[in-house]
Amino acid sequence: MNVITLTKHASTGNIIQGALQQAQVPDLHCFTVENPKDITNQGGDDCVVLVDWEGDTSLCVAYVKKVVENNKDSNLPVLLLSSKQNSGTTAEGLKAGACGIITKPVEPQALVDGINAACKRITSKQNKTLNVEFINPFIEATRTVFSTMAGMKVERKDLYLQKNSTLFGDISGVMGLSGEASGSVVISMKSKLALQIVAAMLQEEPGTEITADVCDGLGEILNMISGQAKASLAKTKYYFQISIPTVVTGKEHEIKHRQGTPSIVIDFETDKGEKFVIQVSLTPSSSD
Amino acid sequence: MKVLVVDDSTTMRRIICNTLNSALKSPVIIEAGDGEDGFAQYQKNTDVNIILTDWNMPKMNGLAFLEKVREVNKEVPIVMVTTEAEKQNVVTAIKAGANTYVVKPFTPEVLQEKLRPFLS
Ligand SMILES: [Mg+2]
Repeated sequence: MNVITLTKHASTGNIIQGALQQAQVPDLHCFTVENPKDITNQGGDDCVVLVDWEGDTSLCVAYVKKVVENNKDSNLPVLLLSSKQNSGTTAEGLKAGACGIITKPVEPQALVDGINAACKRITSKQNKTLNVEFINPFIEATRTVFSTMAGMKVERKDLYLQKNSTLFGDISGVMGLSGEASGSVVISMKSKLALQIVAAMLQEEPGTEITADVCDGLGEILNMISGQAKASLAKTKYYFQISIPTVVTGKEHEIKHRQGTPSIVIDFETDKGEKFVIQVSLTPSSSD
Repeated sequence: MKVLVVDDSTTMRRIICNTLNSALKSPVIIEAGDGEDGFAQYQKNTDVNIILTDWNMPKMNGLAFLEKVREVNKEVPIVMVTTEAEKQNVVTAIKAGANTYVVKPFTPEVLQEKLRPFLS
């Protein structure tokens, strides 16, 4: 178990470590850091961050946001360490992405319970939402479209819930889905990969600039992915109709998904190590 | 040989044109980006030997375009080249008068093979 305490006070870190040792948490590693940028989860499931909730509230909120954002891929759980006096503002921390509160002064058992609950909450949320039937057809379709149209082998990497609306790449295609199920599908990548894909489709040398033709090519790739996924989902409650794709460019652009619909991100990597993502948000209309 | 290619994606039209250019000796290719424009092009070029059309397009979709052409010409071969892969859609298109159906994504070889009967 890795427990990272984000605090200006080394003593707070020591108190946490002492409490966890007292509770005999197995395989325990405690760290104390002062800056949220020093927290990067290496991908282990057994990691939690405790943010010391004291002093400037807006700074605390910013810290929580930063830790959540930097580790959104691993869904790192964040807990607030707050005294009773500061509990009036902790709601803001929860809104910023923290998943629970540990009250100071820290009780060893309460701390362990809080950490366990936080880890379980993140895991079970993940399992529940990510165990979705409609994702595999999109993964299959992406593989087929890339190999058939561009001669590229792509491999599925991670699958996770999208936390914010800023996209991975600087060029993205988006397509609305409607019908028995509705939502949207997005493909997002760096320009360099988009240039390679479109060039491969046309059996040409890649250009250096994102032109209208490159946008068109990426839109058509998305069109084919959605089309194939749709055919696989015929006769299920996730069957949808596709629309005309739109392509958006520019660094750090955002695409809003319908509120309340979880959006699932699938990380892909090409055989040359280039990354891109497919993001799917789909809800059967009957459950609306 | 005169071919009308209707697809809203310029990339897809270029892929199709590449295939036509390698399968045919100096074909005349007319392009359109939606069904409406496709029908206008058809009216200007009623002597086309074959029509390839996408399904999902703005303004007028490929099925509506196909039906419009069939109202005035029952003979010209029409090939649906589309990502709409469900059986029911293939049936709908064939009933509306499509001669054959190519599902995207396709390799140039597959497209060429599907077009072969109509290109002689
Ligand atoms: Mg289209």
